[in-house]
Amino acid sequence: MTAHHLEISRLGKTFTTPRGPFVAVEQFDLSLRTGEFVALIGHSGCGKSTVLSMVAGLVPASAGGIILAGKEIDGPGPDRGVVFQSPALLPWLSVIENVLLGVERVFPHGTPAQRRAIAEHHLASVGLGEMLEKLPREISQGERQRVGIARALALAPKLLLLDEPFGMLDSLTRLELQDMLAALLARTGTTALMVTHDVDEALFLADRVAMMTKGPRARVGAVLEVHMPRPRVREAVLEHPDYYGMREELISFLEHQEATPEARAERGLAAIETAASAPDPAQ
Amino acid sequence: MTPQLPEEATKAAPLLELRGVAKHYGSGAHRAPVLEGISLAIGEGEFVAVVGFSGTGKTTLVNLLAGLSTPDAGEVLLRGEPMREPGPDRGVVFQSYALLPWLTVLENVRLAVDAVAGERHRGERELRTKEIVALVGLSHASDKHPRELSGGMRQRVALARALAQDPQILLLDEPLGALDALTRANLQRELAAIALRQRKTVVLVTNDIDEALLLSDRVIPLEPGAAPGEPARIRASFPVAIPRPRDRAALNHDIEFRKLRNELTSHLLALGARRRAGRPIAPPPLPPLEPRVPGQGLPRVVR
Amino acid sequence: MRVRDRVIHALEIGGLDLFVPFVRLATWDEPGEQLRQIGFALGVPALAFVGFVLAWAVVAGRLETSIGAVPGPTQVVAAARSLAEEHRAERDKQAAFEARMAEKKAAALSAGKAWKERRYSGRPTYLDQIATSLKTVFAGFLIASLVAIPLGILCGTSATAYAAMNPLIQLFRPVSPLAWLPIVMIVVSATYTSADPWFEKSFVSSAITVALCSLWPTLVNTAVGVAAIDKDHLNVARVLRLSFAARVRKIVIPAALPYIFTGLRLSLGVGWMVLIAAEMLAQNPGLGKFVWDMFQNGSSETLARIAVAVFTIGGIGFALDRCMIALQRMSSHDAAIA
Repeated sequence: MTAHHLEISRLGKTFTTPRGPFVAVEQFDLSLRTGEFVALIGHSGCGKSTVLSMVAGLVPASAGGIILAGKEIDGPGPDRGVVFQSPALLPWLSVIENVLLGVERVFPHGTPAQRRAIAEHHLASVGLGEMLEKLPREISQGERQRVGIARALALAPKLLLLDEPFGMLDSLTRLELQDMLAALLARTGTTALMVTHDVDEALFLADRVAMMTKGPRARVGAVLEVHMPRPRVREAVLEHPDYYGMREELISFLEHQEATPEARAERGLAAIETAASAPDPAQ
Repeated sequence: MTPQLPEEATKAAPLLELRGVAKHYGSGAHRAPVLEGISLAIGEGEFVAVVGFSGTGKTTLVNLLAGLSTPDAGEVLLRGEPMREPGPDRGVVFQSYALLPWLTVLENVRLAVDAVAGERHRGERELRTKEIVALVGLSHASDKHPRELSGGMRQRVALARALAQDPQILLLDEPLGALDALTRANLQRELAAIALRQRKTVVLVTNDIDEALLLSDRVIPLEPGAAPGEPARIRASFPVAIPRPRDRAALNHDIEFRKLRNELTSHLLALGARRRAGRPIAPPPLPPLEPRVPGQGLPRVVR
Repeated sequence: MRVRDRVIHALEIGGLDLFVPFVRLATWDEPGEQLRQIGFALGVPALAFVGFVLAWAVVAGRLETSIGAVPGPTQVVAAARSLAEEHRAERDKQAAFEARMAEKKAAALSAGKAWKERRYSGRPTYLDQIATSLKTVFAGFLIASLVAIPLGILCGTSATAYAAMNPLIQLFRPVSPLAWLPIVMIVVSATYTSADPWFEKSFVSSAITVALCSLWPTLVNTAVGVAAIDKDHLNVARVLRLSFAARVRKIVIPAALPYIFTGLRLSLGVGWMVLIAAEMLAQNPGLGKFVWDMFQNGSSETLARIAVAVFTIGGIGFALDRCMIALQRMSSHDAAIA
């Protein structure tokens, strides 16, 4: 079996609170192949963002390990590009200057012209080719989020991490940006892990959807393979015969997270067994 | 189902109508047209959803329908007569809720009841206030101030206040946008029930396609202009022939619903794409550089 | 809410946050944390104050002036005591005088003779002067508020009014009380001819000057607060078709209240500062006059007494500010603590 690009094994996170230790995540296992897009869904507060922060290296893990391209993760780095829910662009820098900040750090050996070309390339890829000199306050929220994505991809990361990147946008802009992201990643082939609570978003973008159980002690409850062909075209996806079936499966998983812990554990185990026994397409 | 022109949908005399309405902001060199050529006829008891991208003028549309602003061209007609000013027969739920923070839930609703039924006996008014607060399920919180309430509860107060005016028409400006999925689903259900039970005419402005399809008889996309700086228009309308009230879970299995959802989504995305079309810039080629991995020194420079 | 929580809430609203850790300590709520907070809130300032007093004592002994050495802490405390003594002595003398007069009056009336009322004509004591200062500043503050708040509402609601008034506001705001006072005194002398001892000319002049200097913060803040009212709140009024009066009463004033109170607090602070200068020049028998008299006196006690006045003025200013903060918090409806 080929080694996975990203391997998360037995990941755990315990927070110390005045009321005692709080085990947010426990025994979280997930592996990603190169070029794969995996969506992580779950209820709010279940710990999805915590998992992502640990993979990004922003939060130290309490247990378990994360291996990216054969090396263990030890703190943040430009090999993992992160897109947050709110891009937090520096308001006194223009769009291209914001992207150049990261590019300068990762490509110090290039000429300024080359670095600018990199920044322009990625900004054009997200549709902002004509807004390079604009300031963040002059562009819309959706456009700012595009800058955030360009900024992360400009680092040529080995892994793209997205934490509910479109959560703050209105439904229609969200659809637009999903289309853009799908097309973009199809071209670059970057491996991506995205946290979201939007089931339709997960189905549209991902190759696999990992469903997280409800916290505390959250882990991967079940994994759904999304067999729809790439590149994903919105109309084709919505018309796909399995689409609503998969949608219902995801929704009912989320809804049943409210059920008894015993039933949940049972379901979780059964689902993992199902996922583990599914044939690995890479072989 | 093919989209229809808005006027075809209502045969009886419309309750609320916009004819060729246009609205712009600013003047002279800084004039920014927001809406143009807007024609919309809403019949009594109809539930209409207006969907559009953010910033395309949906709030402007609500203000025009409420009489809070006047059009620069065209007419706004209420029961066939030109609308001159806002009034209690058109209840508005603002996007920001606009609850008066120094008043409790009960007092906020009482403000509307007193304004509309001021000449009635105080006991009667008090009773009605309590009724309305109970209707939206907030009796247990009637003495709380808005800052002590969650987003969903505040939304209910805003709705209660609008209902307290006993309006014939309800205008809702993205009322559920800021709420989490669970609360939103609950309030959608309640809104549908109240609208049906009290036979209200409702105009709901939203950017959520599923919400529009769940609640309304007709979905009307507010089309953004083809280029930035161009006004928004209304060109099509999508009737939703599924009987109300609708069950969210059952809809998932409904073939008609799925088809309509796909059509509406494609239509809106095409509009968005058209807005961005004409400006595709081919990305300049990436220089052949390898990223520097921290702790490993600089890669070889490839020229 | 539990009793303790209610007490804490009252303390916070009243601007007495300092006492909250004590209350928490009494109920044994995180005692370590409370002790730390008390240490921080009380201990550090106490140490700083002690340090200040020591430094002062050291410096004071070394500086000589034409009217004696700069007073140190002990001399100032002694001066304060002597002022309190003088006040008591004066009150005793007054009581004795009035008792004598009462006797004489009774005797005269019973003997059928006419009696002319005679008032005690002693000097006002230090505490009397403090009272006069407070009366004057509140009078000026009241006048300022009665003028500034309606004007502020007008400026906030009408762009025309604002455009008309703004240049005048900007022009007169920076004017010092020392420049206003002569004009005010001349006008008051000419127009105010009542002999009512409650409202002496010096009192009126001082109060009006205080008002003129302190009305600007209230005016500007009220205007800003009214202009900053959420448009949606005004739209609610429009949809409900509220009358103008109802709109002002139910929406404009409650919405702008936090701003108005901020303005009032700033105005009171400015007024108190201006008062001392005004009293000095107008010879209103308050703290300002006290300082001036001491200065003119040039006795060995002068500097110590002026120092007492300095601490008194500062202390009262601080207390007034805390009262206004408490009022401000009570009126604030979005839980924003000033």
